[in-house]
Amino acid sequence: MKKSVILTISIIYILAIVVVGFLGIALKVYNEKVYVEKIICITDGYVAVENDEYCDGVITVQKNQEVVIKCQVEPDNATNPNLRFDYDSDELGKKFEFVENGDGTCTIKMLDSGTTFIEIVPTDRNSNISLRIKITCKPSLEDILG
Amino acid sequence: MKNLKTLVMMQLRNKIDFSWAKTKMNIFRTLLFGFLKFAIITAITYVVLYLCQVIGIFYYSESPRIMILVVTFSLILSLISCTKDLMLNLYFAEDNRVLITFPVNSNIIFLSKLIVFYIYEIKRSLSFLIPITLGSVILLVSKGCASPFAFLWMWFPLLLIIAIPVLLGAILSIPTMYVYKFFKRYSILQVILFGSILTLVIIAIVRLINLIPEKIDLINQWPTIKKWLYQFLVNVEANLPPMRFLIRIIVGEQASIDADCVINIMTILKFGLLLVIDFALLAFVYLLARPLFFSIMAKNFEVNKSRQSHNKNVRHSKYFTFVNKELKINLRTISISINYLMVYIVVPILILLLNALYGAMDLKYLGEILIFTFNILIICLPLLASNALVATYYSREGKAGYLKKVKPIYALYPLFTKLFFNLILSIPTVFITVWIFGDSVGFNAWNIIILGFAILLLHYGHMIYSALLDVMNPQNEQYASTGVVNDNPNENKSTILAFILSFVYAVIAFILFDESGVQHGSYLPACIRMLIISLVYCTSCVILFIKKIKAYYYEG
Repeated sequence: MKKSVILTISIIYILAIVVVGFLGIALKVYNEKVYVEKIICITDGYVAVENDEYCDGVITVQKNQEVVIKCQVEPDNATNPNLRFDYDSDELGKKFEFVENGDGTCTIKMLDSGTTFIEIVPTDRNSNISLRIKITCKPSLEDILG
Repeated sequence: MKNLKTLVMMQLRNKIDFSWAKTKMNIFRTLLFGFLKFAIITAITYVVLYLCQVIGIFYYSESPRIMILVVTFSLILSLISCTKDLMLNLYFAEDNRVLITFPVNSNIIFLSKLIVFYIYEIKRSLSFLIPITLGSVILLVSKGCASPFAFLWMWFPLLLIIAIPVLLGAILSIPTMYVYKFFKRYSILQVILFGSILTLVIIAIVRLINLIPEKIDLINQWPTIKKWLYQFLVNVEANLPPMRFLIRIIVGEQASIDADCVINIMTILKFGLLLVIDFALLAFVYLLARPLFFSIMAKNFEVNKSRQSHNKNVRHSKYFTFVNKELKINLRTISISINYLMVYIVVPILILLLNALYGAMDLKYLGEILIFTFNILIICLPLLASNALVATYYSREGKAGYLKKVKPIYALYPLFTKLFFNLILSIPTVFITVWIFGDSVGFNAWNIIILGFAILLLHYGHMIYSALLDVMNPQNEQYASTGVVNDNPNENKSTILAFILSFVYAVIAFILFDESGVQHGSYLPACIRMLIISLVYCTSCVILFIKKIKAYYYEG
């Protein structure tokens, strides 16, 4: 059997499990609402910080470098796992640029050296938690030398 | 250089079917279909990746990680097929005897073989690796994660990446050739090895079945699965630095954290390094494989003598002679016996695993009907696709195939005997598989028996049609010259028909089981109707086969 045939059959096999798993499952009604208890940042370069009253973690970037902030929530079965990104709108366009990507992530580009804070909050209103990330942009050698 | 070009063109003509290049209309039609096929695979890749991103399986910026996974898988499969095919083409090809007599530098013959294989690998990549890469790049560019320049750039690294399995395959073909010769000499070891691999696979599948959780609820467990998938992709990238290196050459360097890909000076440097790696591999192949190629080629040509059998000839009846011949061919041709054994053993295991997973799901009525449909689809697909080999059976006889016309027996008999063992061996497989499926969904014995016969007849019908394809468009010359035909049109037609038939049959099964369940509260009427459909299809194929054989052998 050819490589492409084996591959296609493998894909159809996986699809057979996924399709039945999604379309064929008996619907269950859960009255219980599960709220978000923890937000975890999974962006490469994110360093968690403990015992800091201003932030929960730091991401260090270069000037004009974009960073995509990706987060996961716990527990996995949270009824509403969506997140909102809060930031200081006065600094927008001056210190950094911000774009929400529409897939649960956002992209930040630091325009100048310094720091800014992004607060990630669940949209379920009842979760009393958040994740505050400090984005630090170190001055480049050219900036220091003027 | 002119000699090299001539040799390459000559061997390419044997390897790739150029019959379409005779008229302008045919060239246009072939190119158009080729382009359409390429565009469809690219579009499917884009849509699948886009949908995965929409339903949140992964973020769009993860596309390079998906590419690492797909390209790794593709290159591993390419490496396996290149190693096997290169071993057969370099050391065991029939055309070596002709090529060595040509008045050209002996190194050119070796290089021409590698070039032919590389061109063929590019052609093969056009139906998998290249469109999948293009689909991923389109997604990256459309999301603003890569520059449109990537569309132009990606072709250069791809051409070098495709050369890697060919060159590595040429190196690996040397030890493989010795292993192949060793196993050919001690054929009992082949059986032991195959048996051991099969046992290991069965043990692995049984362990996998034991790992299946008691309850599977994809909707509620989705966030956990999503996290697992993300972690899996991250681990794949972390554990495969060479593949990350290759993908970064195609899409560009990571300019920002977890996002954009930019083709910069670093990409160019990496491309240069890839070029050096390719040339180093080529030099290695040239130094290592070329001397061996000539020693084996010359040995075959000069001293290899066919072994004479000292067994006394026994006179059999003219009917039993053909059965005996086919039995020996099936047992001695390891590719044929392994292909059938794999399919006939793998299909029940696949169905066992699938139903173990379905068994852990709490399903509604639609789910039950979908289970019947997918079971029938998964049984039919590999079973019918394996008939592609039947579409090469008669051509594999090479020049001896033409003797069929002069045999003092009705032509249908030797032609049907070719299918005899396939017809017999598929009976237990089909019934065991349908029993596994029927038992897990609670079918009664009648349902299982009738459905078993329905699938068996569908399989027989397709098998006979595949055989007919080979009779009507024989490829004996190609098999006689190289021993292997990688792009056999009959094989392709048989495979395409296998997919179409399986899908149509599964859709019919869905409609019939749904209707039967609602109207009669029993699935027996659906099974009977499916048996009738299969019977009609099989009978029509048999009649077509007989009529065409009569026309081809006696009235032509």
